Amino acid sequence: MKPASIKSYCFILILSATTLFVSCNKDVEQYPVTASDDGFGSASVKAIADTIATMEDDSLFNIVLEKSGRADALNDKTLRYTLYVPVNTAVKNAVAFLTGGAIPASAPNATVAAFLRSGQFTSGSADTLVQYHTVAQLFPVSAVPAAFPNLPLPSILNPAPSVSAFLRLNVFPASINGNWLNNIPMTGPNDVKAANGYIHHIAAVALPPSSYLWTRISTDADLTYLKAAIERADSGSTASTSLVANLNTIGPNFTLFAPTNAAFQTALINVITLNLYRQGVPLSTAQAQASAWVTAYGPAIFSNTSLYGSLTATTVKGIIAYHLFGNWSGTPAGMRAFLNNFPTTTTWYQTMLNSSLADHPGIGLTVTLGTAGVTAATVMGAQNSTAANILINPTPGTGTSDQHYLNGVLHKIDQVLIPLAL
Amino acid sequence: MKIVLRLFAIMAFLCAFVKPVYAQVIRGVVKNSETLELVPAVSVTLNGTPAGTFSNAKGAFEINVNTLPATLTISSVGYQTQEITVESATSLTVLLVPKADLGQEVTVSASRFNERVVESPVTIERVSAAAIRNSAAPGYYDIIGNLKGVDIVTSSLTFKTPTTRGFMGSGNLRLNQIVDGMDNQAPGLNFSVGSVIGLTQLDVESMDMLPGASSALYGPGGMNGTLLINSKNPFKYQGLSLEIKEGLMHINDRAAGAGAFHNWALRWGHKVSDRFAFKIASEFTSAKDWVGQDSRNYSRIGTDGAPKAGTRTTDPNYDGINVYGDETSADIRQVLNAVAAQAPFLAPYISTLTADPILVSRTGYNEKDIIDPVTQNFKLSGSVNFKITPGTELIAAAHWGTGNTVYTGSDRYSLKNMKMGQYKLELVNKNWFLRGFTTQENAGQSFNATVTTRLANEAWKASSGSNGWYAQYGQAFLAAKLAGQTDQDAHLAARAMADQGRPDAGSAEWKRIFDSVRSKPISEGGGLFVDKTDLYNVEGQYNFSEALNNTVELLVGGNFKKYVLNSEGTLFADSTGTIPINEYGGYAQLSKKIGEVLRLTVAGRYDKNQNFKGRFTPRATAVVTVAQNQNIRFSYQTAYRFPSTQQQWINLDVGSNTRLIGGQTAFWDFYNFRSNKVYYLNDLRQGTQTEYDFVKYKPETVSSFELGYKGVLADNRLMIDVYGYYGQYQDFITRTLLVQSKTGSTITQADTLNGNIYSVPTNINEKVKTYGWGLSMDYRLPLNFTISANLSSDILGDLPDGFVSFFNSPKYRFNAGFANTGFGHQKRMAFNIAYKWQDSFYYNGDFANGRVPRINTLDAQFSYKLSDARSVIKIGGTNILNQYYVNAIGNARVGGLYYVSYGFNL
Repeated sequence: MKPASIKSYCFILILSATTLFVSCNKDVEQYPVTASDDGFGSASVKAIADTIATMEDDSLFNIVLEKSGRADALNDKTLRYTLYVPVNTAVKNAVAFLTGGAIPASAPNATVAAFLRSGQFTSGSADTLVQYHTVAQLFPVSAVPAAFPNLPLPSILNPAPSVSAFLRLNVFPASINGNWLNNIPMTGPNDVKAANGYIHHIAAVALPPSSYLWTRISTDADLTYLKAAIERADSGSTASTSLVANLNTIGPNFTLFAPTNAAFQTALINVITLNLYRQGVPLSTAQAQASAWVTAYGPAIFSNTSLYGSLTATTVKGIIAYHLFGNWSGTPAGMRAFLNNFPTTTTWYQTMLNSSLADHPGIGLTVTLGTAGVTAATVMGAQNSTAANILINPTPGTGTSDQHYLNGVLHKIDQVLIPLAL
Repeated sequence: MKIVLRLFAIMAFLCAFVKPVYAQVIRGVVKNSETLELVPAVSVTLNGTPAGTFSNAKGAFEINVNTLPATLTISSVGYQTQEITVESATSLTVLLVPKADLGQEVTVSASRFNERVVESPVTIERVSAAAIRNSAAPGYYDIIGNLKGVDIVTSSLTFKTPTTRGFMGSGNLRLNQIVDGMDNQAPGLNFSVGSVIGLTQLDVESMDMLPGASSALYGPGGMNGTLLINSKNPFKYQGLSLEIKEGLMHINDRAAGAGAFHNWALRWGHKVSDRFAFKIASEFTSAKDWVGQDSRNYSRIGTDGAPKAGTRTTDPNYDGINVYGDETSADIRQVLNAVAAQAPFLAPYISTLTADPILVSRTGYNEKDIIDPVTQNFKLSGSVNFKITPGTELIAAAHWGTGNTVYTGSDRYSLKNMKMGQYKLELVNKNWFLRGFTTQENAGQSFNATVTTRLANEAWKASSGSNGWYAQYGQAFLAAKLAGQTDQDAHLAARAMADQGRPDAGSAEWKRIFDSVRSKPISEGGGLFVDKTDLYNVEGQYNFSEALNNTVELLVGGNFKKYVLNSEGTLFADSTGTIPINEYGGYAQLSKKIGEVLRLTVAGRYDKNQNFKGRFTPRATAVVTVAQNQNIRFSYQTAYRFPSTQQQWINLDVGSNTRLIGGQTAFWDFYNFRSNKVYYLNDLRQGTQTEYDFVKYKPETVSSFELGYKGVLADNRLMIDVYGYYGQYQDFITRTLLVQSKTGSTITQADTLNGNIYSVPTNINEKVKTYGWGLSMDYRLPLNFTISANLSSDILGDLPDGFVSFFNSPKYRFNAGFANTGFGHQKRMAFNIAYKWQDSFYYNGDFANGRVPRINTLDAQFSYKLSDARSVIKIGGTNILNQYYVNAIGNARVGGLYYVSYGFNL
């Protein structure tokens, strides 16, 4: 019996063990990671460069893209971009502009393509263009806020990598009075969804700025009074914080309403006349004297010490500050406003002068838009009897409005804006 | 130790000069009637006198008698008692007949006087030396986890914390552990160190677990039970014993390769004379420790939180539970905004990135990389015992231990080279005892894993500064975003950039940095906590029963306890000097047997701690004998717990702007709670500013009713025990989080994570109800086979909304066993199989919360006796199916342990 009993117990043991040990210990509860899906990265969808290659109206820019050597990067599905693509007409216009009309805008695609492929158009230039049209994040049209004037976004173009890895040239998409990149209307199709980003289309090539505002101010024969006034305003300022320094470096973000020489002359005569009149000089005499001085001294009038009483550095600085548009107490300071984003009814905005005179009403901006874009725009000064006109001519480099520089945009005006405190 | 050595010398002196003179000596040897094995530790008493002795390791005894003939009573647990009349002084051979002894063991634990287990008025779970010998567990402490109603938290191989009836936690403060009459709690660290620095494996005679409230008998602290561990008296257990276990662990462990397990134990008990005996015992354990390896992401707010989705790859603010150093977190918008200020042309773009906080954590290190993977434990204990009279024994005993282990409190603490000694001087008589002991604690080179690793990260590369880790991270993140990378890729690129040159875990550079931090005291900006807290206790008890002619059993006792907190400002607020805490108490118990059926017992105890009002705890029990060896028991018990020494005086920065502080009002002034107001953090997070109400904390209490039955049935082959209880806790001590502005201005909801967070002890006013039941069965089959099973359940009553109870108990747990202590040829073979299952439950701990999955474990051993050599060879293991588990979130992940052992004279 004894062996049999032991076997029985062993049988019970095995049976029990079989019953008991069917379940295994589970590991602690895991919380599955929900992959961050931005809706991009699909293997079955073409990436940006490949998508552009399939779009008929992008064929010329596609040549630029191919030449830039940046197609592979724009096909990297691990990265995210938004590319503003100039349509073929835009590229033709740009080529006509760059060649001084040697290749007219009406030239057939093949001619323009041949130029783009030629040595006349370098791969470096192509790369600069492509980079300036590329924003390194997902930015559908709907993501551009309607806030005035626009949303500065860094393109992937770093104009001086050796200075800082963070330097970028901004582009300025806007959704006021339509959809824009800088002052270029977006033609569509927009929000074309490639595997690694969005493709929008614009009506002109956005030429990246390459010089500073001060370069234009100091070389433009019609802005010599402005130049002199700025230098006068800088009297007593340290070099690094001077207006000239800021107008001559990358980083600041100006919108400068630049009075022409004629505008300055008129304003100077008025100011000097007023001062003389306040000193007891009869009005007609004062007007004659002021006119004579302005004519005699020219822009050097600002550095004439005998007139320092009438044109103090503070006064001149205040006038210049009044022409620098934007909220300079906010973050970031300043803004870059293209005319197409101006309000269509007069709206008052702050200027740099508000940094010192917080309650100053600022300036009133108005734009008139036609089917082809801006037809007129005005800036109203607080003490001006009429609004100053912006001289409309957006031709890059030589025009008078929407003149785009590394550190701002310049619009010439036909009056000096007179603030309240003057 | 000096005190003990002096006592030893005095006793030796007394022994040499106090020699009684007897007329006759009876010598004999005791053997097992079935196997003819020699039986040691058998009681041999001379009837009608207090004289007695025990058989030695070779089964031999000698007893002095004045005259012959004399009648001897020979008894031992597991054998039928025999009375032998000796006519002449010849050598005897006594053959003891084995018998099933279910429920007949005598214990003093349940009532402080001798009674059979089956007659206990409260539930008691007893583990005998025989059970320890036949257990599959590698250490006696592991057996506790298989008892009915017992839950275990395994913080490391050598740090296991048992509890009963809920409220489980590593270093559970609600379960007293008393070793040879000494509270085994480390007075500064507060947890009981039974598995680290307690008795050695070969010196344990028995363990009694009393589930539920027990303050009336054993003083403050026994809210959820009391574990009493008794050592072997050298008069009874003599000779040399040794056991060598060699084992293997970590098979298929994802945290470590297979590693060895070594456990060597030695005991020598020697009776020099009828009056003088001594023992010395030691044990050494060395193994590659189980480690915490829960790498789940954790949402941590102060000492609260929950696991959440995310990994180091997907969550830049990842904070792994058992990953350390990644608790350092900052919002990199600070960096990005600084870049925007320097480069205004980027400001609009940066503002598109910074609408929401971008929280980023430092890169952490896994637990296995920062905590010594080898746990070592060395215990040394001994006693000298001198019988002043046959009934009065003077005992000087010392238990000393050192080693490294890991404990989980509000953090994972590496207790490195911790030392603790307990030294006792005791006079014991059957009617009274007088005992004094001291506990001397030294935390050694212990450190807090999180704080130390965070500081080590800082030592390698500072988080702040223009070229600090976060500056590098933020700039690299921005650069990656400007290059078109997705958020996740940009974070990964940024981390790679900021972590360039980061020392690899295990590298010499990392070790150098980490060691330099952990060896520097917390008060000096390091991670080392210095704890040299001591405890002094004197207590006594007198049993007046004989004086009252045994008409009633009357016990009266009392104690005085003094803590001396000494952490040199690293753990407690004691930077200016030690902090004493005095506590005293007294108790009385009256018991009377009414007829043959009913025994009533009432007891009460009063205790006073200098920082709290005194507390009285009553207890009443009744035992109704419904038939022979069948008793129904009913008890009403109360218990309370003074806030621990840490809950009174801790002052510890645990990182994440969080500081644990004690409940003493001195902290309110020190941290300017009144002038720079503090608010309840959780309320503030929900948008409500609730000022701290400065309510003083107080002891927590529990009252418990229990009804049970224990009976031996089926011709003494079946023992059944069943109980049900209902408990009500009040003034539960927990911690709550307060937050205070760093600047002094009123703190807002948005700033909650940026303020100074204080974790302060507080009481929960709501009553917490628990109830449960347990059922166990032990059945002796023929041929020495036994089967056993128990099922128990603990349930928490309805809770107020938002109440975190820390109940931490599975609703059901089940144990089953199948064993044989001797079968086959000469009953040389033995085995034991123990299966444990426990249900899933949600675990709350200051370190981590989360759901603990259900657990199955199977332990088994097979042994073979070499009777002639008095040796046993055993092969066994715990969790032999190698089913890895954790029984508390953030604690060690435990797998199978397999061993072979050789034991001599066990």
